[in-house]
Amino acid sequence: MTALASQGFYALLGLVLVTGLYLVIAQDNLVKKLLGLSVFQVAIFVFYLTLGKLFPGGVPILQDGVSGYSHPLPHVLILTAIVVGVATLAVGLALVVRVQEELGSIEEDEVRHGPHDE
Amino acid sequence: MNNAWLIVPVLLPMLSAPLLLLIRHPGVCWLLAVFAAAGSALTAGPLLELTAQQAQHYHFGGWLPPVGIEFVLDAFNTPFLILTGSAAALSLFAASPGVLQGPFAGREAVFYALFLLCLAGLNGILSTGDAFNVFVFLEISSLTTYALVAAGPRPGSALAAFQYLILGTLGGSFVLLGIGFWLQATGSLNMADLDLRLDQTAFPAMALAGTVLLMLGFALKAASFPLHQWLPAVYAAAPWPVTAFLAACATKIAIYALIRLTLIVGDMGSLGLDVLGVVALVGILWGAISACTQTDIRRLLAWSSVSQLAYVLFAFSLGTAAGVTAAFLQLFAHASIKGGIFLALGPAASRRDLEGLRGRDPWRALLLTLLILGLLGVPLTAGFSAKWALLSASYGAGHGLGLGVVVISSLLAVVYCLRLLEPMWLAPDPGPTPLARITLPHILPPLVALLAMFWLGTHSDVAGVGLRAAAVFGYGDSP
Repeated sequence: MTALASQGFYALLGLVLVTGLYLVIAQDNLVKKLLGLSVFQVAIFVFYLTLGKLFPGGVPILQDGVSGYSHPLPHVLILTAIVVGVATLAVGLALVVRVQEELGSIEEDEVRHGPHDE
Repeated sequence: MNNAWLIVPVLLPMLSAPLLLLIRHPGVCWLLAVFAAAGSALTAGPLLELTAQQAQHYHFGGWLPPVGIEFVLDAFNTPFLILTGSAAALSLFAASPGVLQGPFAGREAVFYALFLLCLAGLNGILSTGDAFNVFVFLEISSLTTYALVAAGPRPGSALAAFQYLILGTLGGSFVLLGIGFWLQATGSLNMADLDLRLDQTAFPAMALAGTVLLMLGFALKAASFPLHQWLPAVYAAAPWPVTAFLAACATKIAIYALIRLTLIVGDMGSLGLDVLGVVALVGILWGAISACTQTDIRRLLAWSSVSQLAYVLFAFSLGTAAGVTAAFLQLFAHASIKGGIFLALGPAASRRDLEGLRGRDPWRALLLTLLILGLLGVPLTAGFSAKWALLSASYGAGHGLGLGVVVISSLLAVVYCLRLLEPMWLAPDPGPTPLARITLPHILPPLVALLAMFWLGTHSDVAGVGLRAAAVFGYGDSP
């Protein structure tokens, strides 16, 4: 039962991942692109969290009567990655403000005459 | 065992950056930044001798791997530390207070601090022996690069930086996901440990998925064909000292990480190498052809970078000691040449800026011409020795297709290099342009790059550095 449930869960994560990627590619609005990027990253964060979970496994704090513990390392790793994600989002939003100031719009199809390729 | 010098190239720029924000005085900050960058390169110098004999380790907090995090310097990554430090020092020297226009004019301390953080991130990617650490340092260098690119003087630099941020973050996320797959398959993050465990894992499909994701992520960061779309816009939009620094090392460090993780630690297999080789060959031609059609000179040079970096990947894909040596020569040759060209160009961007440069600004014209001859691969320059090594390596590996493509792309390079040389030497002077005469302090950085180019082209011990790096790959002295 758990195997089936976890496979379904990974499929769901894959769906979230692809949804984020789709938003990044399909949206013209720069803020929506950033939102898509965040969705994409969150799927990866949750994937990492599943790596540490064991059945049966409790909070990784030593206590009497508990033998199985979840692996704490992925949680610590992903804390770092979340911080990186927040920083990226902040820099991205700051850049969106600059784009609005310089080019007068944050819709990609309207600012396309700026210096970039194709 | 614990060699504390190993952490200096990362710590020196990383700790100097907040110091600059406290000092704030542009001139003092500029000097400090140049010294910090040069210092990180100088520390790596003696390490080069040491690591040539044996890999050096530094265990953080005395925790032994695979539990603890370690820095490992060997014959493969130490030369890159010298490259990043010296490229940063030269670019920072060129970006003296008053040079910057746009958002950072008057706030130079922030610019220098970001620059040093970027250097610290790149040095971290090079030094670390921990796969997750690579991701963290990769994002440190990327985040600062976005901000540095957005500091460009032209309107639209923020848009270029934004598009770079989107693609760069996607690349970083693929790296993160790939490391997650490896962690799932092996339970380890230490590179040396991963190297062993990936071969014996009970989940080879999962390990392979991780390797593919890592390749994808780093290829995006390295702007290797066909994931190179962000590069021309970024090179055109960034402030020119930043472009010089990015051209000299940023994409090359991503290539280093790609090779380190998917070829040395992971194993992409012979099929993976063949695919890498074929994609690189298409990239060589595509980049060179696109360069020939550009009108903006920075874009032209960016497309030439796409082509030249594909040489490096092709050389690695040969899977021989000669191939690794050729890749090394090409990496360092291209760093000195392309970095030097951008430093010598200064704020020049269009063909009009170059017209009649011969009479208007003879020193700049001379520097540019010599460096462009290096890009062409004229004998005595590093460009020639790199191409020669590449040709003989692909001949030695029996790769006739590669041989042909390298020759054809060299001919295409003549076309796009002439597009740069022609306006300088043959076009009449169009009258006053905004491009001022090059001043003495600004001659120095491209001059150093030029000397490095000739030094690399005329000293055969450079190839020895490449051969020692090949030993890290486990390749013997095959022809």
